[in-house]
Amino acid sequence: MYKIKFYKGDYLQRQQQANADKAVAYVEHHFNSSASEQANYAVVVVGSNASQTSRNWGRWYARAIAEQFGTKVAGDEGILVGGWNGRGDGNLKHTQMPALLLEPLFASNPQQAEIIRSASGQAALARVLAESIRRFFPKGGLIAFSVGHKYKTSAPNDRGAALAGGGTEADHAEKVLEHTAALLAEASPTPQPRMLRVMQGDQLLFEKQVDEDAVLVWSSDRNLLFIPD
Amino acid sequence: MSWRLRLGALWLGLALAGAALAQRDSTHLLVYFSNARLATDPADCAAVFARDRDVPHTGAVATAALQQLFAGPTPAEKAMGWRSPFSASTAGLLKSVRVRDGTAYVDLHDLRGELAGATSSCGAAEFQSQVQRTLRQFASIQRVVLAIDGQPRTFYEWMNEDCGSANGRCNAAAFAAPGKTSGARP
Repeated sequence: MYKIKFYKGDYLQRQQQANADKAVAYVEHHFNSSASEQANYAVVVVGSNASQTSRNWGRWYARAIAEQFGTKVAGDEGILVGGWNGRGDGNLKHTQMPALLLEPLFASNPQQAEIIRSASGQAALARVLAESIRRFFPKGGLIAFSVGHKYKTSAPNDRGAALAGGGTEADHAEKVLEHTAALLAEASPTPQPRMLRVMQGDQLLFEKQVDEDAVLVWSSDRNLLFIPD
Repeated sequence: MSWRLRLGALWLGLALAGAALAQRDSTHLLVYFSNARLATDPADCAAVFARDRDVPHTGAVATAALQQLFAGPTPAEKAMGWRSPFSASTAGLLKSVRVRDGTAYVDLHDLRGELAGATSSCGAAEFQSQVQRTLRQFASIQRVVLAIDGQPRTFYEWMNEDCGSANGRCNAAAFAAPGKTSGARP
C-alpha cells in the first residue's frame, strides 16, 4: 500500500522531514525552461550521491516520458548526476532514500506547455510517474512528493518558470503530483506480472500478460508488434 | 605628382585618420548568446557563440559587456536564431561589477520575476554560460561570483546551488568591500 505525503518548506527541510518519516522514495516535480521555444527533451536530475536505484529509476522515467511524448532524453541517458554544474543537487542530496528531480517537458515550448496545461497531458505525466514508482518500489511504503518552487519558506511567491501561453511551472507540477497520488492510492502494492497494454489516451484497448523476458519488436512495415521465436 | 594623385592621397589620409579616431572613440566587445542553428547538440543548453558589439570608448569593459549581454539579442539577431534569457526587460539587471584577484563579483538587481525560467536545468545553463563566457573574454577574469542586491546567498539559493568554494562560500563581504569597478583587461 502506498502512502503519499506532500512536503513543504525549504528544500533542505523537506528532505530532512522525509528522512525522519522514513519515506521509501522522494520525487520533486519541475518543468524545464529555455530561451529557445524549440527545446523539447526529457531529463531527470539525481543527486551527486545518488544510489544506483535512483539512477535506474531516473533513466527509466526519462525514457518512458520521451516515448510517451515523442521526444528524446538528454544528459547521461536521461539523467544529470548532481544537476547542471551542481544546480539542483541541493534539492536531493540530503535524502536518505532514492530521489529524483523531474523535468519531463519544457514550459517554454508552446506545444509542450499546451500538454502541461491539459487534463490529458497531466494524466499521461501522472501515469508514467505512478508506473515508475510501482516498478521500482513494488512493496509500497511512504512516497514523498515535493512541488518544485512552491511552498518555500524563503521564497513564498516563487512559482518557477512561466508556461508559454499562460500559467506557471509550479502550479502544474502540483496538479501532476496530485493526479499521481490518486493513481497510487488505487494501486495494488503486490508485484504485477508484466503486461502488454495498448492505450488510446486514458482508454485501455488491449491487455495481455507476456513473459518477463520476452523481447517485443515493432515492425512498422507490417504494422505488427511481435515476439520473435 | 598630379592633382589627381594628391587628391587621392588626401582622401586616404583623411579616411585613415577617421578610422583611427573612430577606433579610439569606441570599444569592441563580445557577448555570448545561444543559437540552436550553430549548436552541434541541440540539447546542450550551455553552448554559446560570440556576437560583436561596439560601444562608446570605455575602460570599464566588464560593465559594458554585461550591459550589452543583459539587453539580449537584437530583433535582427533573434530572427537569425540567437537566443538568451536576457532581453530588453532585463537591460537594467546589472548593479555593479568588481574585479579582484581574477574574480569578477557581479551584483544584480532583483529581477528574479523576469528570469523565472533561469532556475531550470536548461535555463540555468543558458544564464550562467552566457555570463561566464562574456566575462571570460577578458584575460584578467578567471572566475565569476554573482549576487542579488549584494547578497550572493540570495542568488545561489535562487539557483538551488550550494554555497561552496566555487562561489566564495557566498561571502557578501566581497561585494561590499571597495574594489576596482569593472577593471578587466581586454
